[in-house]
Amino acid sequence: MIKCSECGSNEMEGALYCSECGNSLLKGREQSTAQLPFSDSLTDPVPPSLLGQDFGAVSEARRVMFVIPSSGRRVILELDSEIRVGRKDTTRQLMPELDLTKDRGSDFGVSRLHASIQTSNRGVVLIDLGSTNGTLLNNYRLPPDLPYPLHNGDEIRFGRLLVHVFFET
Amino acid sequence: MATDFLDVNILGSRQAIAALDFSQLLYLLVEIRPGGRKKVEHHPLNLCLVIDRSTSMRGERLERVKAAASLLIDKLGSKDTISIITFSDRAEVVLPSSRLENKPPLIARVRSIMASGGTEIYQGLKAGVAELKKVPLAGRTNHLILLTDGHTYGDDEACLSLAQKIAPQGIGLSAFGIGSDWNDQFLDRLVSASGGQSAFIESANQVFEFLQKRIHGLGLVYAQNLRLMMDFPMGIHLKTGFKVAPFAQPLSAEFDNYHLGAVEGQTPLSVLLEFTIEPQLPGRNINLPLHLTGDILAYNVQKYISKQSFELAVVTDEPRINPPKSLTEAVQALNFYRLNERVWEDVEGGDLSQATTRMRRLTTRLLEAGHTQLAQQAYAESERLSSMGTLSVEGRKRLKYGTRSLLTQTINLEDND
Repeated sequence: MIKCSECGSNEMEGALYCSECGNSLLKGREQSTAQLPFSDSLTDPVPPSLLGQDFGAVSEARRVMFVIPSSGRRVILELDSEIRVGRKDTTRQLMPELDLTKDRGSDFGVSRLHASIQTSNRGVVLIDLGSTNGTLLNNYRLPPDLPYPLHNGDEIRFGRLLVHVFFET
Repeated sequence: MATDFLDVNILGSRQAIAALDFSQLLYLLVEIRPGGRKKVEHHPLNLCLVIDRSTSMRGERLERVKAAASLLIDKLGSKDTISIITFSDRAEVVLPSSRLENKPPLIARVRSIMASGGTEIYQGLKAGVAELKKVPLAGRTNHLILLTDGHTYGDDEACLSLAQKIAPQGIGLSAFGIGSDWNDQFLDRLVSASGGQSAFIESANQVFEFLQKRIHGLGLVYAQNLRLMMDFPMGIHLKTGFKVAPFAQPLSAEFDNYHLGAVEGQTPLSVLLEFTIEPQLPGRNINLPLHLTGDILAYNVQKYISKQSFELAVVTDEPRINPPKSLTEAVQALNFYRLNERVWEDVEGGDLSQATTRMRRLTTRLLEAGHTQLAQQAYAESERLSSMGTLSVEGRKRLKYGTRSLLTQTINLEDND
């Protein structure tokens, strides 16, 4: 049996594509994240510059909880090191801390390495890592590679996947 | 000395399989071309157009079909024969089997066709076959082309058994559905007995293009009534067969034969076969026979047999799978087609959330492969599924025939002209 790395379906030995999700089952082949038709969001307005300003970002938080309404999943992670957001890729040995594979990240246009959440001297920040379908913070599209402060109850869209964040101190 | 009338090339997804405790898959891409160096000649065509003139065809549809039929008459050569049947609740012979010596009176008859009544395909097919048989079938490419926009009423089985009866007699059948209200599964089954084409003509103004393409191919037929004999070793089963070129079409088996259709000009008749192989003992060499039979029209040879085979080793360690690109692409296209079919099975089975998930996955895969237009259609249907719990009839056909045609795009078709 071959297990599909995307959807976990069991496929017959010798199959070339997953019969459930269409993923290529040929080993070592890399595929890029598809640009979704709904990535009109790429033209959404960029938030007014928040760089260098501190609007009271969460600085005392120790842990963060991610709530993913579409799958009903909750993930709690420590904030002591960087949290990478994406989809795991076993061939590239990439294991993001917040792995959205199970939340159908691929269908929602989440890149393998989509964004990063870090604790800086200005508090907890969200950085889009140049993802294919972009990151929206409270409906503002984030320009890639720039840090934006996160607040309790913020709404983030990785591609089209909605995630709520809550902080615990 | 035997002459190789057919040039057969077989590509396999793997040359060896591991001795495992469970069944495995093997894909073969079989390409059949004319053998020898003889240039493909045009053979006389014996064509019959069977035209639906039911009330729903009234207006642009019927006018476009009539215009297309007139243009065809204009294009056919003096050695060809044509007949035209219309049907609604009954069939009428608009144009009895005629040589194309004096065209204007023939075109005038086509212009006289009017729309009214219901859709009873069988009557039309039966009358069409009778017209085709008015000339000797041997040495000609005999083909019936059905143009319809609706469901037939209660005579499906009669149509299918007629199609099965005429295939061995050397009469091919193609069926074109206009608009989106016709029964795609029925038309697929109808043409499968002869290995013909069924296609979706979304807009009436494409009728001529489809007809012309089909008739161009038929005019170049080198070999016809080709069948793959299914005589495989124990434990090896042909799961599915799909024609890839000259057009994409699901194949079906009957009496241990797979009907492949015709080799048209230098374009390969290309077929994708999916086998399941039950557990095998290591050290064995499997000889998978691929025996073809058919009539070589170009040399006037009936029931020619071409015996080919594919060798597959059974080994103890896991062999690397590194299939040829053309085969991988064909399998991927077939996978798109199947994913879309499964969405429909989900919808019909009442599992809407599964259907939505699958349609979204198909969207993603189509995008990854660069098929943007189809991906947009799939996306629109996934949105419709999640908001309304249903799909559109047009969307269904666009995706079905769109993903199907991707198969043919994986083959580099050579120019026939």
